[in-house]
Amino acid sequence: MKKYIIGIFALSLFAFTGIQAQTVDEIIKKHIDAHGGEAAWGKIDNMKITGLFTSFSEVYDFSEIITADGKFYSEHHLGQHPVTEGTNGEVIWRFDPWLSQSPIPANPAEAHTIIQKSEFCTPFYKYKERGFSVSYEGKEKMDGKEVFKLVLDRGNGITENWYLDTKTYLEYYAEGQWLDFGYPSPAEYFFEDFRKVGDIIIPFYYERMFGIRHRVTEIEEVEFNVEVEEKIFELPKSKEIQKLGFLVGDWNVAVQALSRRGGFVTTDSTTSVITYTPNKNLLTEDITYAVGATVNRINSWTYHDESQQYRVASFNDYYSVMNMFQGDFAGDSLVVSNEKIRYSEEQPQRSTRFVYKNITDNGFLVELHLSMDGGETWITRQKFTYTRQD
Amino acid sequence: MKKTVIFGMLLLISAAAFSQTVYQWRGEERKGIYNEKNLLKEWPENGPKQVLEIENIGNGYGAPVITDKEIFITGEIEEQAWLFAFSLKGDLIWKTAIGKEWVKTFPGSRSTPTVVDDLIYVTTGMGDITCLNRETGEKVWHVETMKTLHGQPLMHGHSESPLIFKDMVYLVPGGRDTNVVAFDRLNGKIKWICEGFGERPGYNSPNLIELPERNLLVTFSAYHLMGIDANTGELVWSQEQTNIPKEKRKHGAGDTHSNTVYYEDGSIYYFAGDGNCANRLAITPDGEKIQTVWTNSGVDNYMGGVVKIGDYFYTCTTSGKDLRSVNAETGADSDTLKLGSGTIIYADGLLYYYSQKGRMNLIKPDNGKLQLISEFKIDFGTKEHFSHPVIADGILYLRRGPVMKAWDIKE
Repeated sequence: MKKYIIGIFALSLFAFTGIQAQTVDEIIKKHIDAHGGEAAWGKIDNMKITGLFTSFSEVYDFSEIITADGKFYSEHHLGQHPVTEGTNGEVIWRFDPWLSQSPIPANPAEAHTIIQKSEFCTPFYKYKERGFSVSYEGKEKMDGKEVFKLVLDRGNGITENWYLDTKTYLEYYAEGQWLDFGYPSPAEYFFEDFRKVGDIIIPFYYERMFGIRHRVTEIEEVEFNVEVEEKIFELPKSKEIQKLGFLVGDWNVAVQALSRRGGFVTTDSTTSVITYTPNKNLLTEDITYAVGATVNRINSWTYHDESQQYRVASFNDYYSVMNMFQGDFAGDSLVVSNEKIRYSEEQPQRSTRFVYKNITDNGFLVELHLSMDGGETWITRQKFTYTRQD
Repeated sequence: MKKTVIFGMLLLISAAAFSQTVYQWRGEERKGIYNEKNLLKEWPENGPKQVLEIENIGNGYGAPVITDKEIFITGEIEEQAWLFAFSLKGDLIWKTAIGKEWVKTFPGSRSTPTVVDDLIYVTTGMGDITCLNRETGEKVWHVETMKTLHGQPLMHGHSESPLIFKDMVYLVPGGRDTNVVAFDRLNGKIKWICEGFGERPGYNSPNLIELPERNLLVTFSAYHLMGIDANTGELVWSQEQTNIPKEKRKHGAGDTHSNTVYYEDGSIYYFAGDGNCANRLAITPDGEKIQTVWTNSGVDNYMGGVVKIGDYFYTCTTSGKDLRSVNAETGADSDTLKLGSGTIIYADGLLYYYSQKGRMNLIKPDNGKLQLISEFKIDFGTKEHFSHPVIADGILYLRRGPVMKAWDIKE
């Protein structure tokens, strides 16, 4: 009998502790429910969030678009500089004038912050699908509150400590990694002012502190399922690369070469396609034409911020060699040459330049010039007239 | 005998000529130690009795300087920098516009004025330096160092409280060839220029080290601690801050060294949270050479100031978000209080620690041990809790943004 009673007692005790101890998934489910629940979040394709963002003690408006499928676009200020950043789900990019002169792909630390900003609901929403793992570390006291401590492992070497209010299951505080001028920095996150908007609940006020930095986000408005142009999530072209937009298109190309008698003769009529490479500040062309011999050129146009020059890499398969050219717009024409490009100590006598001129919406002319005296005098040797295909 | 008497008199006269009553940033020798007695050993629950409130002093973070009869403080109002003079009771005596003020990141004034006899020296966040008459507030001379000395702009505005030594006032405009400058403090004429490393200023308020053979001005540019002959401008030695590699150096990364350097008994101590963190350097008696004795890279105090009491330094850390004591001999951590980063001064046996969380704390230091005694909330003013408190004649002064308050802390 005694053993029976002890057994019953032990079972009761086990049942009691079993009811009290929640699993990590139970806590997370309640956490998501506290944010409105999976069904409510499932109805949202995107959110547009606007409000005030404080950095370096200056307050500016901010705007973000977060999508359910992991895309993100943001406009805010860091101090007096406007910053844009985003991701199309594949390429994560940033344009921060403190650090670069044009939009560029994000480095790992920057990418990590953008991923955090782009998260739907909280990082615990569908965390398993995202390849994260979470462990429950028990309850703690924090600022007079009781909190659940969850450790989130993002599977990329970064772990975060999250503290959820045991009464509301909403996030109160977290420790993670943020970004300070391009470098990762341990950070603290504080959340408050949870409000219902539509069918979901989000914090309308949160702070991030890292090093001596302090960032405050105050949400003013949330809109759901707004119309968005997909291209905003792509890495924008820098304004210098945008100036080369006249090159982009499908072209008919008439090729002329300087004849021995001094005039120009048409040697070929070919086609070309010049495109922006997605998510890169790069244009490319692959063109084959005849000037006596048949030449295939693969051209790539870029812009070098530091020297403020366009750089063109041109592979000429007739010689099987890559040549570099650089230059800038001179008036309405783009002129790139290899005059100042050295591959050895000696100054080359022969230089080549390409002049892009007569630029209109429907076409442009490229002249190939040669100099045999180090750039003192130039002779036009070939002309390529690009006419836009219908 | 007669020659001896005359010589003695000449010595006295020259001493008197350079004997100055100086009121400045963080008090005597810029050490943050105020020579006060009979202060409260603990505070009432809501803090000591408030005895002063001055509003509308403009935006800013600069601490006041308190003399025997005035309070001087800077502030920004509608992009203009102002220097205010108040009586100790808070009545405005005069105010003078001293140039355009910094209104970008962390907008507002930064400088603590330096008062020497009947003149005041003050800078703005735009790198201007002005000398004014203490009595009337009239400008005596004014230099726009960004224009005339092509000082380099900073990400967070120029932040320097002027240092006076003899007949000179020093400034770090941070020009490529006019990096550190000594002006004649009476007329603003340049006495010497040190090219340094041609770097931006390091947000530092310099200190003076008086050695038998040489007097050194010690300050930071963006990436170097510099020891400069205070009389000639010769760069005597330097120590590079190596935490950020050269190719990765940008504005805002590794260039903020606001804490004034500390000197005692042949050792220089610096706390550069954005640089090499806490270091003790041994300096040769002739001032020519330095050598690192210890480095504590966990003590990343950016701008809170430090005090040394006995064998310990008391300093905040940024990453640890605490007040920490550090053994001055070895550099080892001793004790901590989790109060957040903050600014610190000392008087009559106790530490006064103003945390960035907005609390004024009274702490007993005891041979490296820290004990929190009292605290009260700072809930006036606006923006960050960055400024340094000041104690004068038993009154604790604190500024936060456009408001300054004072409390009676006498027993």
